[in-house]
Amino acid sequence: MASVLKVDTVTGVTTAGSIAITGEGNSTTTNLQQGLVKSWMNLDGDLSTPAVLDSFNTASITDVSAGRYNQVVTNVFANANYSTTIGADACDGGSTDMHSAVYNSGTATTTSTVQVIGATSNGTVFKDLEHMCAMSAGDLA
Amino acid sequence: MSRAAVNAGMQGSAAAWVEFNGTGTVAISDSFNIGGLTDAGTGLYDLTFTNSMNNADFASTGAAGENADNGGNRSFGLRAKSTGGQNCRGFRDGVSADDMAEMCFHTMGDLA
Repeated sequence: MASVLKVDTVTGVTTAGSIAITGEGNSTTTNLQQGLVKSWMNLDGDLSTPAVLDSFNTASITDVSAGRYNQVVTNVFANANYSTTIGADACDGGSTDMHSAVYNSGTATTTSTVQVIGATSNGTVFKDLEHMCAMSAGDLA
Repeated sequence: MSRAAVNAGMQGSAAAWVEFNGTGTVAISDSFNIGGLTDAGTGLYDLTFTNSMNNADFASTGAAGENADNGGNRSFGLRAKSTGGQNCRGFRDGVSADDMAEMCFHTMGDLA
C-alpha cells in the first residue's frame, strides 16, 4: 500500500549525512546526499546591478568586472573541490555569436565562493550576459 | 518550493558528478559515482560511472576552467557516451582542444 512520509528533516541512522536510496532501475543503490545539488542560481548579469532571479543556497553575488560574477553560498562547502557547471546566453535574439560561460578563470574557488564568467566572440571576450545559470554539487560543511 | 508540486527525489538528484584536474597526470579532486578518469589525449577525457545508467539518454553538463588567469577563455564539450560513462573535452577560446586545470561535470538521469 502506498504511503506518504511526512517529516521536516531526514537524517541517516548510522551516519547522519548519508542515506542510501534505490536507483530507478531497482538494481543499484545511490547516496541521497551526494546526488543533491547543493546550490544553484539564475542570474541576470546584464542589468546595471546584476540580479539573482531565483536561487538555492545562494547568499549573494558580486559583480567583479565585465562578465565576471562571484556566487557566494549561504551554507558553505566542506572543501573547495566541489563541481560547478554553468550555462549562459545573451538573450538578444538575433545574435549569431556564441555565448559561453567559463569558470574560475583566474579566481580560485573557495568553500564559499565560485566565480562564473559570461563570454562572447567564441568565448574570447568576457561580457555581461542576461542569462547566467550555475549549479554546484559536492560536500557541504 | 511549491507545495503543489511533487518532486521524485531520485529524478532531481545528480546521478554522478566530478571535479578533476585535467593537466599533467589527470586526477579527480572529488566525485560521486565516478569510477574512473582516463586522459584520452589533449583536452580529451573519458569518465566512467561506478554504477551504470539505465540508458544512454542521460543529460550531462560541464564547465572548464583554470586556477590562473592566463588569458582567453575555457569551455567544455561533450563527446561519446554510453550507459557506462561519458567522454568530454576542454577547449581554449572555443576552438582549440586543451588540457584544463579544472573540469567539472554533472549527469542527471536514470540509474540502472
